[in-house]
Amino acid sequence: MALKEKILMSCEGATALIEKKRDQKLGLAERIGLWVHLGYCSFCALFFEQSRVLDESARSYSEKISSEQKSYQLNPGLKAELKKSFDLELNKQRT
Amino acid sequence: MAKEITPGLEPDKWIERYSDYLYSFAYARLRKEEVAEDLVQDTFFSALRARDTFLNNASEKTWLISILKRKIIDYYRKKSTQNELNIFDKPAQGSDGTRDHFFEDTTLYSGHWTDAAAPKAWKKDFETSVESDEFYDILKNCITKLPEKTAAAFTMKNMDDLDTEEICKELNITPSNYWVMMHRAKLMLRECMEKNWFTA
Repeated sequence: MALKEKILMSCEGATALIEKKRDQKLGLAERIGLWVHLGYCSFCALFFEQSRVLDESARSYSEKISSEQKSYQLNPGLKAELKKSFDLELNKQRT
Repeated sequence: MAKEITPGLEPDKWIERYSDYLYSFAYARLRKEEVAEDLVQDTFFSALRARDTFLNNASEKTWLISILKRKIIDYYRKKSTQNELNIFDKPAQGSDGTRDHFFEDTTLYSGHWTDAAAPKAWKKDFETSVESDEFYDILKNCITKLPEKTAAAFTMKNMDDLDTEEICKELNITPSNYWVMMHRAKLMLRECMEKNWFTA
């Protein structure tokens, strides 16, 4: 890709770099290109901020479900059946 | 006389003690009752067979979760070999085979946001959002709407804290496939959350 294309990137390219940046360091041309793009494109600037909020939301959701592990219950009928077949297996192993 | 099972393990209490816990863990990630049920049952039987690998100083609960996590990853991997591989051939296309609607593909405006998909300013902020249960319900639904493999990669990255290399290995994809997927995931999730929560 020509340097000019790297620096004058489209919104599709810029948003792809924003996501890549969360995980690894961008190359120099990529960094400059993204910086230039975010300077004049208010949509991508919004995307940049919102993408961060979404990542934080996912993390917060993950914390919430690990602290509320009892929020769902295994179907009681299934649990009883499981208990029965598991005990059977357990007895087999013990003898 | 009954043979003593590995010290530190009480398998006869497992179902009673941990089945809801394991089920919640699996269901919260997979959002599919039947699949979560199957994986939980598998976990108990696998744990019983593998009880010699249990280290006495570990917690039973943590050990069972680690087995379940492995099962969830195996499930994602099986899924990922079954379908959705086609989307990687043409990164600019949606999973239904048509170019998706986020960016223009006319020559003049190629790669620019379409009017419909361009981000809007949000009315709600993060701090107030995370205090609402409804926010999490909507987030969960938006993640569920992602293509399955994309949802798997997104969940593994953002919720299970796996690193990129590990995710690529588990889903059998290249890093560039992965970037395309995460980019698409964020575009879809952003749009869904904007419509249903942040500007609703």
